[in-house]
Amino acid sequence: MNIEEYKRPEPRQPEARLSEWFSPAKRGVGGWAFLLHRFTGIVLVLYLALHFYVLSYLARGPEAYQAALNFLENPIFVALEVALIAAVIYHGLNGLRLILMAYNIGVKHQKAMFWVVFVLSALTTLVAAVYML
Amino acid sequence: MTGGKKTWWWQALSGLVLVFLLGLHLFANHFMAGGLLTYDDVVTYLSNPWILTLEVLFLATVIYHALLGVRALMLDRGISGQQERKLTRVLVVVGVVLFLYGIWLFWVILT
Ligand code: HEM
Ligand code: HEM
Repeated sequence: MNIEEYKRPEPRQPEARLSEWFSPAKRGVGGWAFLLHRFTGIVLVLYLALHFYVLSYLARGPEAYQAALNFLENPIFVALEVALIAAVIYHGLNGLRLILMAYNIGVKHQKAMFWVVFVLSALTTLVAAVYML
Repeated sequence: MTGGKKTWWWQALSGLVLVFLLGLHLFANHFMAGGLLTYDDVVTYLSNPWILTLEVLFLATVIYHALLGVRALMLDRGISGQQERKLTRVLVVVGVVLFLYGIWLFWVILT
């Protein structure tokens, strides 16, 4: 196996277009892992912004905060929260995998490790979903 | 190390720290004493100075990691050196503002 395969793909042109980031063309397992990592990273940044907004209700006192929390009990938000857990777990575990790769640890097993990360994420998410729903 | 490698390293290091701090955050919010379900729970939780210290560290680390990530995303779209410096400055300002906001929130909750 060739180590170049596991590095972050170079942008295909200097002016890489957004649509190309998410293009499924010419991707191996490493490419999909990277794509998911990027996608979950973006999701987490967006969540962080939303989270800061919701927490601003803490500054308006107990009643306001409770009202905000009650609003979030809506099943749609609970489902989104499960998706958030999935994103956190995947991004975190795959991040650890990427760090190992960068130090040349277990590069031979990088595909197997991706599947370990993937299955672990799926299982944890399932447990969280059962616990929350 | 070149610029890109160095920032990647910081991204990795802050990610590693986040495994623990975000882990603690999620664990505390969902499992400690049944979870932080009300305003009072949050006040009690943050009244512990050790917890508060860790949460402040967490606040700083996520903001840093997230904005470094956003910067990496922008750089991957291909921008000039001048635009890059401008981007970095904007992100530093955004980061500082978010951090101050977070600290202000802790302060309002605790007083
Ligand atoms: C749970 C612990 C976490 C770990 C171990 C981790 C690890 C990493 C690593 C190693 C990278 C570099 C990937 C690469 O370009 O090779 C990265 C990128 C990134 N992370 Fe995290 N991270 C964590 C949490 C977070 C959180 C909480 C956020 C958002 C609030 C976040 C947002 C991002 C973004 C936006 C990127 C850039 C994605 C890209 O360049 O494609 N991460 N993370
Ligand atoms: C569903 C899971 C989550 C719940 C229920 C939750 C809940 C809370 C609560 C109650 C607080 C205020 C008290 C405290 O500081 O602990 C808080 C603060 C915070 N959370 Fe979360 N959180 C969750 C997930 C996340 C994630 C995934 C991130 C990172 C991307 C995050 C980032 C933060 C930060 C930075 C603060 C500190 C804000 C401040 O300065 O006041 N949280 N969260």
